[in-house]
Amino acid sequence: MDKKYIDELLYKISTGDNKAFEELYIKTRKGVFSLLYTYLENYHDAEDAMQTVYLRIKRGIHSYSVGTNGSAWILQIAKNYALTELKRHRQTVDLESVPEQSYDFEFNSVSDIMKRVLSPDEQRIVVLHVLWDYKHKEIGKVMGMPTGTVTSKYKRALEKLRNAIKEVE
Amino acid sequence: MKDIFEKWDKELDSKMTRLRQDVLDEPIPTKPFEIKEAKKKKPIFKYMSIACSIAAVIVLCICIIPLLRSGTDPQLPPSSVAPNTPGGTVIVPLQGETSMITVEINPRTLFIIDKDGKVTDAVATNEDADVVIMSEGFDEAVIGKGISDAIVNYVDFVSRLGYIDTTSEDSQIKITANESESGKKALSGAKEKLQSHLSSIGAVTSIVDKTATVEEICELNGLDRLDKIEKVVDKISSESPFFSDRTVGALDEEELVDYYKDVIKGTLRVEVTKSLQMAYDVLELTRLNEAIWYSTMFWGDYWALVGSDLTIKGYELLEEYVAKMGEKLSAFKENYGIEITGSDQLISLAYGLSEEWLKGIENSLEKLDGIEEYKKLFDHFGKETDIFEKLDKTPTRDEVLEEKKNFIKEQNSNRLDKSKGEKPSESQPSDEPKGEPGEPPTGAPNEPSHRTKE
Repeated sequence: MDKKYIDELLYKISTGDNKAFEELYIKTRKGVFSLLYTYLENYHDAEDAMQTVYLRIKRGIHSYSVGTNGSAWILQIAKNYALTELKRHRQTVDLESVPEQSYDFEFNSVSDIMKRVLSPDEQRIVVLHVLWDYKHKEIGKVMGMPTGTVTSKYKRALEKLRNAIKEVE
Repeated sequence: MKDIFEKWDKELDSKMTRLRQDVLDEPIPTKPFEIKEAKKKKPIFKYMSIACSIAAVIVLCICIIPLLRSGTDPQLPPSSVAPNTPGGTVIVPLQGETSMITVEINPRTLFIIDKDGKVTDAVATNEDADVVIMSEGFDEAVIGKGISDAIVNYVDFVSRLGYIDTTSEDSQIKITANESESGKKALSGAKEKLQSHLSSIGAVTSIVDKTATVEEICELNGLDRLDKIEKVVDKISSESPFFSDRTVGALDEEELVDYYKDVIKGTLRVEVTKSLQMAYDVLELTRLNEAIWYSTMFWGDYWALVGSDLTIKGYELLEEYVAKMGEKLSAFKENYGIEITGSDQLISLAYGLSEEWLKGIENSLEKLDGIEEYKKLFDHFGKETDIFEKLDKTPTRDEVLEEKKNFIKEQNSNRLDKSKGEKPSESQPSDEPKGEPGEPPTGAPNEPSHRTKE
């Protein structure tokens, strides 16, 4: 993901360019969705959350300063919203019955396998590295982990994924 | 791996939907781009101060419950408080000279302890823990104490606040220490002391101990994953000890409003509802007791009556009051863990409700944009709202005493004026006793003048 390009799009959006907003959505939606999915663990919740995240990006565009890492800003909005949703969801679950966990990706698809074999931390590391082109050092900063931990977790995650996919095949 | 990720990418592509129309149609704000983030943050701090003061009010509402309980019944064991959710974790990471301890029993609190093993600070790491660490007397009971004593006192606070039912076999406290020698030592000391304390109060809560790395402890507490205790101590020392404060600081404006609505307001709503329910029950008991007192023509209250060898056969209304009172007292004990054994205790509870609770509730309600909004909320949740009026009209203790004095004087003079053959039922209150919460006599009962002896 080209961080400079994202920054440029954010600037265009701030000037009222709705096309740039659509372009931003297309460029970043997989990354945003996948990050949300690691928190919410449900396709529909992640999909709904994603729409809200983009709404927040639009509404809060002026709180972003050009050149201060647009993707990090988007990720932060997504993460904050996911955590708020989780909290709200937990409260609802306390009051009502516990809903069945549903996986909306096909069984044995890569997303499904990732969900089953990787820990949430490992999933986030893979999402940030693969979909957001984040370096391990940057991931460490975002997740509050030493770079070494990120590297080892990433390696372990790849190994787990590889083995799981081999088993499936 | 490349092919796997390519496959993943394609999968995601196929699952991606278009932006919703309302998102697309949402107008982009036309403010100039130069506005700096700091300026945008102003409203956050504005809300933050509100949210923080609300957090403090929550505690006021909650803390009064145990204070009243202990004030009116000092023998009451902590475990007798109404059960909530069992379970918990106590984490004891000790390393080097400065150490830290985290205690989690749903409320989760991180304790910082010095090289002598004394607690120097306590940091809440979830919302329930905010309530615990803000409790009156918490600092005195925990800060500066040895870690074993601090944990025992902490568990007592948690238990009194109803977060753990120590009479339930399902309740559990987990103690986790870091892998250093000092950690293990502190862990075993704390476990031993807590076990002995729990046994002494007849608690059946089990304790599970284990060890963890500093990073794992950080993760468990929702803190940034740091590898050294010193770093953790530095970090938490520079931040608010209250979870709500720290959470609020990290949110943007919109999330802050959500947080306020969902968490703070939600917690407050639950706590105020609980408090009001208790207030309502106490008022009802007080009125029933008064009705009994009136029905016996001031001979004695409920406890005097059930403790005597007199029977009340034939006095249907009085029988009904006594039966209802018995039922209500049992329910009260079951719901709040408090056994009311006399009018003194009942009037103390009513007095506490009318003075302190009302103050706390009023403060809470102010923060919720006024009593009217809160009434709407209560309506929405199917709760009775007339309790607000009732509490508002609850007189002070002095007013109650004065009123009672006048009432008795009036009744006595009426009795002297009227003929002596008046039946008690005529002076009995109606099915809905109208008397204000007051203080029935608690001294030695006089001989009843209108009751049938067996």
